Amino acid sequence: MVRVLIDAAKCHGHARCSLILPAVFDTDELGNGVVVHEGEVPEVLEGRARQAILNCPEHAITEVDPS
Amino acid sequence: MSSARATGDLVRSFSLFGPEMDTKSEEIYRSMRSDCPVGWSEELGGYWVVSSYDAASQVLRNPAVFSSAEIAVPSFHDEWGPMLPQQVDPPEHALYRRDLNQLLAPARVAAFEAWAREFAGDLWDRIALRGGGELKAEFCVPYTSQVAMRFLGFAPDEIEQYQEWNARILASLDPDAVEAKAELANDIKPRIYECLAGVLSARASQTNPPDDVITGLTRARRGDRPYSLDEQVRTLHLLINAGLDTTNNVIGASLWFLAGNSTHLDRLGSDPTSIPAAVEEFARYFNNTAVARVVTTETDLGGCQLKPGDLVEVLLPSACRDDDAFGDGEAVRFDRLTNPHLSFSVGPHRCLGSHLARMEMRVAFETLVDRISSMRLVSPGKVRWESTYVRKIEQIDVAIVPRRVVGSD
Repeated sequence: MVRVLIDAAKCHGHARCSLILPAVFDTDELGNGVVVHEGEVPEVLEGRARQAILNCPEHAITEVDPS
Repeated sequence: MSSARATGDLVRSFSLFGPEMDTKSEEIYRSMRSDCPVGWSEELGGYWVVSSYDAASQVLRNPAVFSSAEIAVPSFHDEWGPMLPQQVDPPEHALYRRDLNQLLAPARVAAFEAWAREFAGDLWDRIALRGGGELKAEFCVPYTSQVAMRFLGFAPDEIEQYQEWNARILASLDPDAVEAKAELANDIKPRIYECLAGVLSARASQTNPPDDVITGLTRARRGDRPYSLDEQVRTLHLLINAGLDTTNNVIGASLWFLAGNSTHLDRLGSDPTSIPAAVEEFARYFNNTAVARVVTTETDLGGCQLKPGDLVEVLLPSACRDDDAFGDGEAVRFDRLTNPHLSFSVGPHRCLGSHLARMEMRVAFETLVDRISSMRLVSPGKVRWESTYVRKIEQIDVAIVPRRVVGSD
């Protein structure tokens, strides 16, 4: 299992991630990206998580080693 | 003459307002991207022209070096003062944006979607009933203006007046439109100000006001103090300006494309789950805005030395078709998995209305394919660049085949 993180300093609220993978990404009341379930990505959704990372125009999302 | 040399000439004489932009913008952008992604134009007083994805991102992501005190070429300064929050730099910018972001956040847009869907569906039903129509006048303009203005909180009978004023504002942006500029400054802008101040003041004193953007503005805070009425007026004015024309044109261009490319339309019809990806692709492909910045400190961009005070024009329509960022960047592909386009800009000035614009586009296409099985151009829509940085299609005459007989049930 991989984990994803959003760098709040880089996120400017495009919401691309939450549109691509709402099971892992959401937006807060200001419209900024947040991760749900501490950013844990179920194995079947890893491809879409990587797609969310690549589509973030701010490069605000990173994949981290969960260990 | 080498192609790089020819492109150098192209950049030196580049202006968005040049007549060649009507028909040749795509090839001009292609040449500039490949041979001279950052170059100096001697037109309009002289400015840097940025056409690649990489250089465009660097400019927009770095507000300390590239200030929004200037947002257009030639330099544009509203008589009301800096446009809020567009012409404010960080860190002050964040104080203005916080409450605005909340008022235009995805959840608030989602709550308005059902209204937009019903409105779009009615427009398509009327077009379907007649077997076709002219989509700018019969769909794009009424749909985008009604949705944006109703979302902000305007009454239906207030909308037409603002549409007319907005058209005057856009016409006045042409550097040669001297009379239109004078009329705007002396007559129209004072009337707009008075109207908006009236709407906001009335709303502020209303008991149980509706939960919309206008009410939100009357309560908005800039850090530790409320927005002044003047700040509310200037912000609302910007929201109206930004909301009326961009979505109208990108939806128009997309419908024109779908009418001319039946495989793309069929794809959306047979698999509506591909519509969100199509929205991002059309936003990328038909980006129709250029933005400017002013250099604050000596810096290098794409091998060029930029000096304080230099104006920089970022050509987003070009950056969004850059092959280095998007493989096959000049093709419309709904199966594009990586599409980090700059159509809503990047950095702190990310388009405030991006969530609304995206919802408007998605609902327009969903309601289209729900009702229409095929659509073709009757006359090839006239495409031309308007003088206001906006790629505009004037007329989209189509014949359509409805998916079912309208009104039969």
